[in-house]
Amino acid sequence: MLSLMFCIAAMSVSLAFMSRIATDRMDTLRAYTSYDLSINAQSQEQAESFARTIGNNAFVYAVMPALFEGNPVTLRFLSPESPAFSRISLLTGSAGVCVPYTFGLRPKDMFTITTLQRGRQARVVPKQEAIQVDGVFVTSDSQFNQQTVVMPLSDASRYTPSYRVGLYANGTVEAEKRRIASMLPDGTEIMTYKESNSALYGALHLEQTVIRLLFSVLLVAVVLSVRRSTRDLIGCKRKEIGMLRTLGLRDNQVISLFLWEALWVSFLGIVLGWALSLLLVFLAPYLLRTITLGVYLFATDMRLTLPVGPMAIISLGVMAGVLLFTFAGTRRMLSLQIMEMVSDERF
Amino acid sequence: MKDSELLFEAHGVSKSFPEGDGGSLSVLSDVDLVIHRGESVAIVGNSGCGKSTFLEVCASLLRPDAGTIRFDGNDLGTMDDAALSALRNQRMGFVFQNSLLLGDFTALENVMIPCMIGGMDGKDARKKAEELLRQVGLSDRFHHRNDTLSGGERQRVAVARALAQDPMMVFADEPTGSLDETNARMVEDLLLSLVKEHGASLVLATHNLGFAKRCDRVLHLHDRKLYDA
Repeated sequence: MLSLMFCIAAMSVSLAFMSRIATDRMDTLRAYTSYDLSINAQSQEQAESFARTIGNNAFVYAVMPALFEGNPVTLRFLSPESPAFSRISLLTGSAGVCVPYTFGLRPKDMFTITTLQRGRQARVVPKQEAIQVDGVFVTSDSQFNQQTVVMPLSDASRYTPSYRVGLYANGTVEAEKRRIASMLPDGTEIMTYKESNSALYGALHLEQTVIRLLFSVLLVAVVLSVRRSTRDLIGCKRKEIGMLRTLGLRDNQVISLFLWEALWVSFLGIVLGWALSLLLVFLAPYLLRTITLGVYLFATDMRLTLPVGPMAIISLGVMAGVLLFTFAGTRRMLSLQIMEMVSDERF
Repeated sequence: MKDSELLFEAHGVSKSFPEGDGGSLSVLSDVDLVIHRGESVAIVGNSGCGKSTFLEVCASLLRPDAGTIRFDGNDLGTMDDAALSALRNQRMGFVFQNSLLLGDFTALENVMIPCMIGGMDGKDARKKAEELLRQVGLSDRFHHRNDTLSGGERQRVAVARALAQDPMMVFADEPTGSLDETNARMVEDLLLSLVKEHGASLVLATHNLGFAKRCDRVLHLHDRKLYDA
């Protein structure tokens, strides 16, 4: 019963944890990097025109790669009024040139970035520029926190001619994509967050498949463990049941005795497993915070949700397996003659 | 004895056990036995001659390879599990060499179990079990579990349990085989007197000739056959 409880708890918490991580990674991408939908524009004017056509959800932005102290960063040009900017939490300072807290800078500090821009003769020319910090921000995306400088949209034209329109979908992303496509000229490139991050999405999909595979292996291990426990339990009671048969206990009564016991043990194991899962799921954010010593290593929101559907299926499956193994084991035991059960000798 | 008092008949009973080399070891061959109501019969013989096997076959605890066994007019070979179980519960009692009490239960509960399997109310079963335990001299051991009872006490509980359903016949397989002389004598006395008191027949397998001679009839199992001793 205890092993069943721990198996159920381990499986449900693992599922909840993995599901949370996968969801969170895609959520942070949608929130800060690729948005639900992004539309490529030929110019700033066209981007603004697209944004006006789509409506007030849409906003214009631009992206430019750069180097900060030798490390690659992304310059993300956003208007402070855009929905994307409102998702970034300003720790100090004001909107404008905002750096993440990981840079260790404060408002009014100067920092230097290096960009690669088109030159007259060479294809690209490195250009260094000192910029003053207006604000310091933090987000729940650790990668964004380390590799992004948010710049005013009005500065974008100095760095890049490529503008885009971003959008958070109200309904489903695919439906929103179809709606917008019908409003914009044919051939306009509209990408969902999955399409923008197809490599990552594929990797996540692969990860989910591997997790499911590992999960199946775990389930097989649980089933085998249950089978072995059931066999041991029935084996232990062989002599006792033989004795009860000499006293007049019928085969059907023996089977129902074992089935009731198996049902109760598995039911209690599963209920306790769910209770332990609920406790662990509730405690997970606090435990993780303690483990990481309060450092914001897991910028991810670790509030877990119990995977009720899959766990219900697994619980029912385990219970059915326990009953099946018990029934088969008891039938096999009852195929012995009474003295074969009672005697210590093997006939 | 009149034929109407016939309780048990075994005709042409044979039994063999498979051996490791693929062959089989014949233990009983074409054995006959008739027992009347209230009669006590002892089966004696050397160790390993097949006394216990014959007793177990007679009590439907082992299936014979050949032969028929009739108990109180019923052919045991044609009865289904439910009918055989009811027969064992209501008309047969068993005492084994190692008592075979249920370890998780007290002496009282061990004696109550056959009554409760037979559908008796818990209170009545308790009353009956208490009375039987008093008869075997264990009124101060009602709530003792198997592991806190001595060997002699366990056998006395087993005797009480065998008589719990007022059986027609008690099968006793070396009931004193693992006891010292004093305890063995006490169990002998109890078994014989209580079986007689309850009006039951007794089939006893033993190598204790003294005990065997106290029965109405002594049979000798030798070379797979049963002979009058």
